[in-house]
Amino acid sequence: MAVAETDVRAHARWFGTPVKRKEDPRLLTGRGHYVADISLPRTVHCALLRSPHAHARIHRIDVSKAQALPGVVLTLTGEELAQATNPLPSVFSLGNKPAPFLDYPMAVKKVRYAGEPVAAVVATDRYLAEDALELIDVEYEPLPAVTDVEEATRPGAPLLFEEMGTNVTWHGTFPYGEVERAFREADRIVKRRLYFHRYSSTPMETFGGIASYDPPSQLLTIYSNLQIPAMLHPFMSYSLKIPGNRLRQVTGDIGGGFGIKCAVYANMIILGVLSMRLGRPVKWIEDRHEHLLGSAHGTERAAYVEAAVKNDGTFLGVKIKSYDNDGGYMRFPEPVGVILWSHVVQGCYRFRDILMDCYAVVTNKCPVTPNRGYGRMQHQFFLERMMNIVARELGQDPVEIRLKNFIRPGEFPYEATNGSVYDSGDYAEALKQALERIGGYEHWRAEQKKARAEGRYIGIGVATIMDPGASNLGEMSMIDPDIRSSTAGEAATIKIDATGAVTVALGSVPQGQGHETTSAQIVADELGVSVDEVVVLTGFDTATHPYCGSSGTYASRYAGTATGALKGAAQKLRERIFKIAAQFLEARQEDLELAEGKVFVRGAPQRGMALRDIAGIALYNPAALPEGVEPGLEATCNYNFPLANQMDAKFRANYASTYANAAHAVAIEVDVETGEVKILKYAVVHDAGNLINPSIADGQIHGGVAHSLGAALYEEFAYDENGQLLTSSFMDYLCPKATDVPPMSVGHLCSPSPFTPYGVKGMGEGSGPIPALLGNAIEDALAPLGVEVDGSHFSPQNVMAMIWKAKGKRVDTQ
Amino acid sequence: MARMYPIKLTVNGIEYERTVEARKLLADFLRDDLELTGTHVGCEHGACGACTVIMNGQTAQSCLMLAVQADGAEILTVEGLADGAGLHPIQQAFLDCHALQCGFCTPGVLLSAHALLQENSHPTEEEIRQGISGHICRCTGYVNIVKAIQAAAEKTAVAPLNAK
Repeated sequence: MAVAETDVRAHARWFGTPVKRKEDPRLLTGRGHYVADISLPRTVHCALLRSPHAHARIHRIDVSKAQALPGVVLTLTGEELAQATNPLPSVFSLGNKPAPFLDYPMAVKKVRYAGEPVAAVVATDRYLAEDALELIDVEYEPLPAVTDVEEATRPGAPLLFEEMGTNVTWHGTFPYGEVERAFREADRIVKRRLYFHRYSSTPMETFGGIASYDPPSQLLTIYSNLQIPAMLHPFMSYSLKIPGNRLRQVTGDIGGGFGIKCAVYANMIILGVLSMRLGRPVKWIEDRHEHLLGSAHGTERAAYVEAAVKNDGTFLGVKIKSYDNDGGYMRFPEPVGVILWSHVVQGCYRFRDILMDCYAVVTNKCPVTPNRGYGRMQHQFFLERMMNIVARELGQDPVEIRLKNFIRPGEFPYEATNGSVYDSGDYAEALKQALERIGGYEHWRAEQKKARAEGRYIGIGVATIMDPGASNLGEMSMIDPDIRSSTAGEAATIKIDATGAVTVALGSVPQGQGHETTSAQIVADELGVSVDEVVVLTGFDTATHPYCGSSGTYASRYAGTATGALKGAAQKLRERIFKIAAQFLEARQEDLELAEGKVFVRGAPQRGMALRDIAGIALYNPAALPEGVEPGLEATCNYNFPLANQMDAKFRANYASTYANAAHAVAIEVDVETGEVKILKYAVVHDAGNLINPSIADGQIHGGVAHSLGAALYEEFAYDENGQLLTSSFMDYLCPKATDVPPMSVGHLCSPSPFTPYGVKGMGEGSGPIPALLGNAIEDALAPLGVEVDGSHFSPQNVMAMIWKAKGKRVDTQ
Repeated sequence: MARMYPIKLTVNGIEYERTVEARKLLADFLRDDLELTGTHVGCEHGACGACTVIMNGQTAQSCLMLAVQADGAEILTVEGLADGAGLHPIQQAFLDCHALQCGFCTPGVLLSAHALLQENSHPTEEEIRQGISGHICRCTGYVNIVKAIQAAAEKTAVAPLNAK
């Protein structure tokens, strides 16, 4: 497949350059438009009462004292909310199947995790609303809690939903290739139980929203920081029992999302009901304690992994049986996270015989939702750890075993065993360059030897991962084949007004990714204007922005989808401009060119017309337009990635759109007295094809490394056996600070995608490789002690526990 | 009705007289009463630094203070950092170095950087990292924030604190 015919890079002025961000002047001067900054007339403020128990029956809620407090205007219990709404739709509703259980945004009759909302209070200010919470009397009957995912699957475990008779909410088995043959023909089968812990990217801006109902028009407007408002529009409309055109959703600046803000919508149902009852705006801004306790977490997974290998290190096949701890409710898009390995089923490797056996399980923890690297990082954690585990068992080098198993550069486009079409890449080269960037593999092996002689423990780690972009949502069909979807799209509208000025609106919902800037770069090149002159509307609005079924900002999807929409809309305008100009300039369309805000005859710039003149004709003198040319200069493109397809009967589809990759390399030293892991050198070489804006791309890589590093070393949602969260403040839930993130060397390879406009690939999530990377490095460092790593979180106490375990001491592990 | 207390304070060179409840946080007072929404609230327990302002020449976390405690104080918020419509050199350096993504932590970080450069016009990388270690940024990995503060230090003799 060829690159699209008019590849703008040939005459690109802005594409590929580090254009400074359009967003920044307002954000730097305190004039951003975050949801908490919005104040509407007559606004009242909501606070939520949350359950202190992880699992309990609610016998009675008495709100009378709260209602009597001056300033309180409304209270709402979970039971009352359930009477006013439809339940939150589950993934299964997309296949017209019933949900396994009813799910409302507030607890009804029972609480299933500590922090679950049980009642809402609305008052004239937030302080009063919180005062009123203390006056609500709830009679709970505490029940035994279950927090461990495997324990939750066992007979006799406390049941979250008695009517289901089990805590397993979904189970699917997906065989690819000839797994049994691979395992028969293997020289060796290596087995491990591996565990990926629970954390989240904790955006600095918590969840929040304002719902504003206008009774005369029956229009409910929700201003929020939901990162997928368009995708969830029908869900929210259903829950609120109002038609889609009576629900308007608006976003502005969003203070980080990272997937977690896909879960904002449940709270917005509460606000919507409150506002519809009151006929005035209701505002709720989550506090940090609420966020850590009860918003949503990233996925925690326990897995039994088996690798079938040859003695030379060749991987033949892999079997994984996995248990996702989905927390108290399996809320959309779960259980999709359970099967998002579909984007990276083989990692960077050639083995094609794979059996995935996946369980989604509810427990008395906070529900989970997408989080940077959603579903892919857990899978690649297992694969990257197994690469090292197998190498160690075979006495091989972890770099060599990867080189042996990598998909080769000549094999692209490479159709993976599940139908995913890996577009391009050179995985071996990325690994080689990453190792060079930390100072060379041999160098660190020599340092390691020296250090060991001194009783110090240096380790070298590598992780080579896929960083795919733009899910086609075809994986929904893996949950239920009756769900049909193939949307990997985005929509964009470009308007040239009578002054010749260009305005762009699109369906993406950026949370810091700089879409105003990158979109302006693309449009400026296509229309031959300056990037400074292009205005890209901030945020998203269902009433005024174009969108498609998968619109939003998640799954590293902008590059693989929005560029196509922007290009498509710009091409429509270019065509119209050329048709009009050809008539007025008496020239052939193919001889015309757009630059400097003018359309002119190539080689004769004096024979030209300004864009405002073209717009003037298109808007004010349509009778003068060439035949068949539509009046106005506005165009919309609703783009879908050309290789996005539906899942077939063998669970095969091209599940993502672009397949960037990265190699990470690290040298560490482990202090065996304290368990501290010190990073000595860090490098990443990333390949996302052509970069729209290299400084924005670098920024995404920096952030991805910091997130993943935080997860590996510091961040964990630790629960006690009663389901109480032990890390519910930033004093206990430790995010990396500037003193914790090491300097990192960042390199790029450029393997353009043959399938996207401009050869771009989605990037940004980074697929969270550092738990695997540090796991590999720690095992390497502590090899003389015989330490085996089976988890993903390397706090000092966990590292010490591993050391003591290897030394045969009795350990009380987590 | 809760008892209200009169306070008088200067914010960004403008003197304000208001009455507030004793329990009102300084951050909420700045945002809700003075409509200076550039000061962001990220954690309400003094652990993230998003709400940092400069009070009487020193950084302070406005989520850990009551508005009544700021009676008589002189406060600088992000809105007052630049002199006029342009950008302050530190803001400009953040723009030039792509030192922000979502921008939510940025106002607080800018003020800490400003205070740091006031005290130490040529900080080392380590001193910069220490100087902003009261802040959590989840987008940038701090890489470009450190670069921007270095760039600002190199480029400028920073204007004296609160100078207007």
